[in-house]
Amino acid sequence: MARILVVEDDLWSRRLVFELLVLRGHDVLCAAGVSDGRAQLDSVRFDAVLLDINIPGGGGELLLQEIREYNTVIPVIAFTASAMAGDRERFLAEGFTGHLSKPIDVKSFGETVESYLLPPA
Amino acid sequence: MMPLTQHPLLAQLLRRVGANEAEPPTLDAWRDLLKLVSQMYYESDHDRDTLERSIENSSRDMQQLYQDLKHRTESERVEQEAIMRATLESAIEGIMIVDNKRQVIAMNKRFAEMAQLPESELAQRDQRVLAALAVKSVKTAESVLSRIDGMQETDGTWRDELELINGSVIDYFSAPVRTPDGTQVARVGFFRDITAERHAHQQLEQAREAAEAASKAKSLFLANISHELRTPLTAVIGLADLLLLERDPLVDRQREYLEGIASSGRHLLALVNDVLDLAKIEAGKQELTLRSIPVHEAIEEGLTAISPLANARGVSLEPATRNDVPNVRADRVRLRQILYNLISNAVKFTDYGGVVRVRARQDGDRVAIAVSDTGVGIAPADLSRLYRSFEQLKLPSGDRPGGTGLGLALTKRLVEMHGGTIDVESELGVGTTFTVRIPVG
Repeated sequence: MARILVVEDDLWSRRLVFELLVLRGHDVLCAAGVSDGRAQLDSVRFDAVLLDINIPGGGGELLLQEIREYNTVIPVIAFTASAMAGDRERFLAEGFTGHLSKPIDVKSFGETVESYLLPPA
Repeated sequence: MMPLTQHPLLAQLLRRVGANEAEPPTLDAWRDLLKLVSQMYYESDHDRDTLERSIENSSRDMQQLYQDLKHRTESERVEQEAIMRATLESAIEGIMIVDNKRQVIAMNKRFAEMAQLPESELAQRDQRVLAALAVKSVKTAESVLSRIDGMQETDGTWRDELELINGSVIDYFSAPVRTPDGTQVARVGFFRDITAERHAHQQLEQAREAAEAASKAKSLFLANISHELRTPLTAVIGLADLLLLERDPLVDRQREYLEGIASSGRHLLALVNDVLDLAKIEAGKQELTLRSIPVHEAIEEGLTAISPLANARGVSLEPATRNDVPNVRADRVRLRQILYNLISNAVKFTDYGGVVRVRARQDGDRVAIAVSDTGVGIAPADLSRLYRSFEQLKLPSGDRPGGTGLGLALTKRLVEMHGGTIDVESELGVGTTFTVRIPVG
């Protein structure tokens, strides 16, 4: 079981991801934007962050930069509807651990997220 | 004209000073003649009277002759001037002839209109003023003047466009006027008003630019909206799928409806993806990452992706690619998309028990990949509509097969982006073969 932060501004996408991860037994907290996500990260220790790119408050890339300033190992997964060629490479170069593109496959989503988790110490 | 021979003595005298009877005597001839006459006057005392009468008569004849000649030259001059005037005025172009001293030798009305020469000045006919006024009507008068001066010295022709102060655009052609010995004595300029042409051309250009900008804006808008549409679709499809995974049993009707929501959501998503792809191509934002790709790998990927659909429809898939087919230069994702579209189309239009074959072979500097089916075939009348967006062909049953109606339009664009071609051969009731040719690489 891991504690995962989901930052996603679309209500029903957020709810869907929340349900899927909770179904897998994870402890999931949600945020709708950059400032909301920043506040959660300041008060709770997470094992992973699922981060939408196109979110209010400066975008997912800004929040990633902030996280990477004090934590270089926590898995941060870009979660986006854009499927442009080269996106994946760009996200990895920016410091994301992985990239999941929308729409998601409900059956494999949980497993895919778990594959990015660090092994328990 | 009165011939000189009418006066025999005069004729004789003229012949003696070497003058031609048919032409007016030259000044020298006259001088010689007078000398001759006065000599004769003093030498021939015996018949002075006769001679005096003779000279009196001859001077009358001479006067007559002079008048005749004068008249003839004048009428010839008038005639020639009339011809020249008529020629000048019948030209569509404005014409102006300027001598080496920048004096206007001749101009037609059309030119006066173009250069907007005032009537008062035209009436005055001071050619120097007119020439100066004509030059002044040009926006870049100074440079025109210097070029005109330069041209007076050279002997070539000159073509240029002049923009007048009143906004007119003039196509200007200038050619030298030379005497038979080759001396340049003047230049003749032809002026054609091309303002309307230029204006029409500009409007056409502006319309084209506006249309292109609008098309680009439309494509960008489509690309953006398609992207935005994917987010709610994620929730629609995902939540329906999530509900289908619930452990609590659903009644059959509920399950069916949920499957309807999920599959319609997927259809909509496929449509959005295709629209996004087409829009990106049209906006010039689709970029290919070209690599050397083994053809059989790409074909196998396409076949693997489509095999669930083929199994469900009872259509068998047969790859038949020889190992010696060279690699192609292509974008892996897009090549897979091209093959997937062609193979899935083939499967959709083929009945239970049919076969879809995918073959690849080298064809010059390209690899030809042919996707053949034993399906319903395409009517000749429908062939021209194949690559149009949303022009989906119907099955013989009248149903529309699954898909977006954009697949072939997109496939064609993608193939062309690779520098390739796509061709189709089909026979109703027998089957269809699509062949794409992609450069070897």
